[in-house]
Amino acid sequence: MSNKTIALVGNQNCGKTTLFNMLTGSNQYVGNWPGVTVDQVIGKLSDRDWDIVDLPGLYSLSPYSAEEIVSRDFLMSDEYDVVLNVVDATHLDRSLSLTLEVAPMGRPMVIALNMTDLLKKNRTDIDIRKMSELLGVEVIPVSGISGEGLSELKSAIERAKPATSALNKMLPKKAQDIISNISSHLDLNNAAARYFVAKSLLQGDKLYLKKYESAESLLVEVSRGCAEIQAEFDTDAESFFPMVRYKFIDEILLQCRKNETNRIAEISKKIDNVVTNPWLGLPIFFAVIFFIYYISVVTIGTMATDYANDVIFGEWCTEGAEYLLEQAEAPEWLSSLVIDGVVGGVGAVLGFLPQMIVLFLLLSIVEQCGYMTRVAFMLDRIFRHFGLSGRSVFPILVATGCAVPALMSTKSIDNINEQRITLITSSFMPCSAKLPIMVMIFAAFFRDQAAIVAPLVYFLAIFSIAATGLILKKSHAFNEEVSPFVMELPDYHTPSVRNVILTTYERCRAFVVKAGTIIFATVVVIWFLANFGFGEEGFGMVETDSSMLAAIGSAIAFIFAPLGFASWQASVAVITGLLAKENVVGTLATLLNLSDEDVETVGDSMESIAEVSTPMVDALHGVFPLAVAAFAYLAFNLWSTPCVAALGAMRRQFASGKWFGFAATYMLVYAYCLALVIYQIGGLILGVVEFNVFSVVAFIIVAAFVYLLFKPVPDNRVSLKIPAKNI
Amino acid sequence: MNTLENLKIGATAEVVSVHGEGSSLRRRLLDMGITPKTKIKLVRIAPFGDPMEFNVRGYSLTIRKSDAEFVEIR
Repeated sequence: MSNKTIALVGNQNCGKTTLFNMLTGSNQYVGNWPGVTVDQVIGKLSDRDWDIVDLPGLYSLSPYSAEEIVSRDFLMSDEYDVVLNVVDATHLDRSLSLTLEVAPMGRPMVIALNMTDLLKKNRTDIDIRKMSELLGVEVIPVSGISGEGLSELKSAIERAKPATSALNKMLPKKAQDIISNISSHLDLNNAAARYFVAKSLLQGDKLYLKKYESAESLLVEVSRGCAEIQAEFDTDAESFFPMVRYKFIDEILLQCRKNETNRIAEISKKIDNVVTNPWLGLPIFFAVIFFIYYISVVTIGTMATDYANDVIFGEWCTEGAEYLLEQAEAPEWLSSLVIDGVVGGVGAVLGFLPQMIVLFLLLSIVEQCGYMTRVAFMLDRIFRHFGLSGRSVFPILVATGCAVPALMSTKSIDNINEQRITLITSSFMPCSAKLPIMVMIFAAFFRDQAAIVAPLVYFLAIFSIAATGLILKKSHAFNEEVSPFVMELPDYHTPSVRNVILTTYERCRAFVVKAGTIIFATVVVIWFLANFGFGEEGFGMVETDSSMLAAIGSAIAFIFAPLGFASWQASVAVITGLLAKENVVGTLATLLNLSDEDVETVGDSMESIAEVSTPMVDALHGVFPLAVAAFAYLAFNLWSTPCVAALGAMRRQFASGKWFGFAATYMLVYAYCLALVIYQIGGLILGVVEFNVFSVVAFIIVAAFVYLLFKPVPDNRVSLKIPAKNI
Repeated sequence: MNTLENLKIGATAEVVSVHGEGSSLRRRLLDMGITPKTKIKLVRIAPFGDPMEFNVRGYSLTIRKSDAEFVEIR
C-alpha cells in the first residue's frame, strides 16, 4: 500500500471534523502551523498508512485570516498528494464555491458528499453521477455520522485524478488568457501556484501585492488585466471571479439537483422564530444557562464532586498512600509531604473534575447543536458595545468552569480586536478554583451578608469585563483591520456523541494536566519552603515562622500594605495564587498552622460557608484585621492574572509576546488598583481606614478610570475603503 | 443608493454590487455568495436591533448593520 498524504478541505459546519474523527479514530495529534496559533491536526488512517491533514474550516482562500493563509499555502505546497474535499449536501452552493477555488491547484481530488442521509428528509435528489461528470471529480456520498460510504471513499482516493475539465468550462477564454499572461511573469516553479497567485493578484490580494510590490512589470500586467476584465465583463476583477464561480455552480445544480425543499432549514427557521424571538429569546437563553448550572453545579455535579472529595481522595487515596508509606517505612517528612501536600493539594483540585465534566458536557451539547451561534447572534449588539463579540459569550461561560478551555475557545472569534479583548477579560469570570477563596473569605467576614456579597463579586466580575472592554476598545492598538462578523447560522442538528465526548475530554484534559504539573510542583515547593530554613543549627527543618517562606513573604509584604494586607502569610498565598488559584486556601492554612480538617471545611459552594471551621475563621481574622482588607484580598486574587496554565493558553492564543505581556501587566495593574480602591475608599467610607497618602492615590485612580471610561471614542475605525490595489 | 441595511423583514432584494473595494468584508461577502444579481432575503433582526439574519443561496448568514451598508440592492 502506498504512503499518501491527504489534505482534508471543507467549509465550517460541513461535518468535516466528524468525518475526520470517523476516518482516523484516535490516531490524531495536534500541532501548530508554523508561526500561527492555528491548530494543525494530523490523523493516521491505520488500514492504509495514509496521513490526513485536517485543514481549518474555510469558506474561501482569501488572505484575511490565519486559517485561510495556512490552508492556501499548504494547498500550493508539495506536502500532500490528494485533496479530499468535504461538501455539505444540504448546502451545495456555498460548499462548491470552495471546491472550485481548490480545484485549480491541479492535484488529484475526491469530493466526499457529506450529510447525504439528510437529503431524504429534505426530499432532495442529487444526481451524483451527473455531478461527478460536470465537476470532473469523483463524488462519493458519505455519512460522517453513520460511517456509510467510507470504504468507497478510500478506494476513490486511491484512483483520484485532478479536476481539470471543470476549470476549462468555468472561466471564459478571455479570463484564462489574462491569467496565463500574468502567470508567465511569475517566477514560481509550480504551475498551479502560478495560476493561483496570478488570479489572487487580479483580485487585489493584499499579501501577494505586498510580496510583489517591487516587480513593476508584473504589476503593470496585473492592472492591465484588471482593466481588461472590467471592459470585457463589465465588473471589477474582485467580484468577477466569485460571480463566475457561483454562475457555474448554479448551472451544475440546475442539472443535478431535483425537488429542493430544504425541510431541515425550514425546521431550523421555526425553532429560531422562538429561540431568537425579540421577547422570548433572552428568557430562553437565561433558562438554558440556569438549567446548565443547576445540573452541573447544584445537583449532579456537586454529588459527583462530593463523592470524589470524600470517598476517592478523602478515603481511598489518603488511606492507600498512608498504607503504602507505612509499608515502605517512609520517614515522617515524606509522609507529611505526600499525605498533606500532594494528596491534599492535588486531590482538592481533581475534586472539581466531576463538576467540570458535567458543565463542559452540557456546554458542548449546546454549542454543537447550533444554539451557541444563535446566542452569539442575539447578544452581539450588547457585547460589541464593550469591544467584545457575540462569540465572546461562550468563552465567558466556559470560564466559569476553567479559564484554560475558555481561552482556547476564543479561536472562533474572527475579529482579532474582539478576540484580544475576550482573551484579556474572560478570565475575570470567577472559575471553579476561585470559589474556595470566596467561601473562605465570606465565612470569616461576611457570614451573614453572603447573600449580598456573593452577587456583588459576580457583579464586579462583569463590571471588570465591561469596563476593560470599554477602555481597551478605544485604544488604537485594538483597532486593527479585521475580518468582519459574517457568521453562518448552521441548521440545528443532533450533536454526535463522539464529538461531544471528544470536546469535553479536550477541555477537561488541560485541567487535569495542570493538577499533575503546576499544582503538584507548587505544593512541593511551598511545602519545602515552609518547612525548611536557617535555624539555630544551620539549614534544616524549622517552624514555619522562621522558614524561608516567611522570609520571602516578609520581604514582599510591603507591596500589599496599601491594599490592607501586609502579613507575610497573605503575601505568600497571593504569590502561590498567581501560579494556581487552587493554592490560596491551602497555602494560607499551611502558613497559619491549621490542620487538614480545617482546610477541608472550606467547600466550593456558597452553601458550605456555614461549615467552615472556627479555627480557620479565627486565624483569618488574625491575618486580616479588617473585613474590607479581606475583601480587597479576595478582589486581588480574583481579578489578577489567572493561573499559569491559563497564562500559557493565553500566550498561545495571542501568538505574540508583546500582546501577552500587555495582557498580563494590564490584569495585574487592574487587580492592584481595584483592591487599593476597595480598601482605601471602602475603608474611608466605613470609617475604619484613616485618610492617608494612599487614599489620595485611590482617588486619583478612580478619576483616571472614570476619564478612560467616558473618554470620547476616537474615530479610528479602520475605513473599509482603503484601496488595496497599490498599483 | 439602497442598501441591505434598509431591507424590510421578510422582503427579498437583488444584489447590485458589494462596495468597500479591497476590504476583507467585500471579499468575504462575495466568497460567501453575495454576488451581483443574487437574491437575498432579510429573515430577522436580532433582539437588540443588530445584527441581521439573511437568507442567501439556501443558507442563513448574519451580518452587522454597519457591514450590510456596503451591499447595494435593488
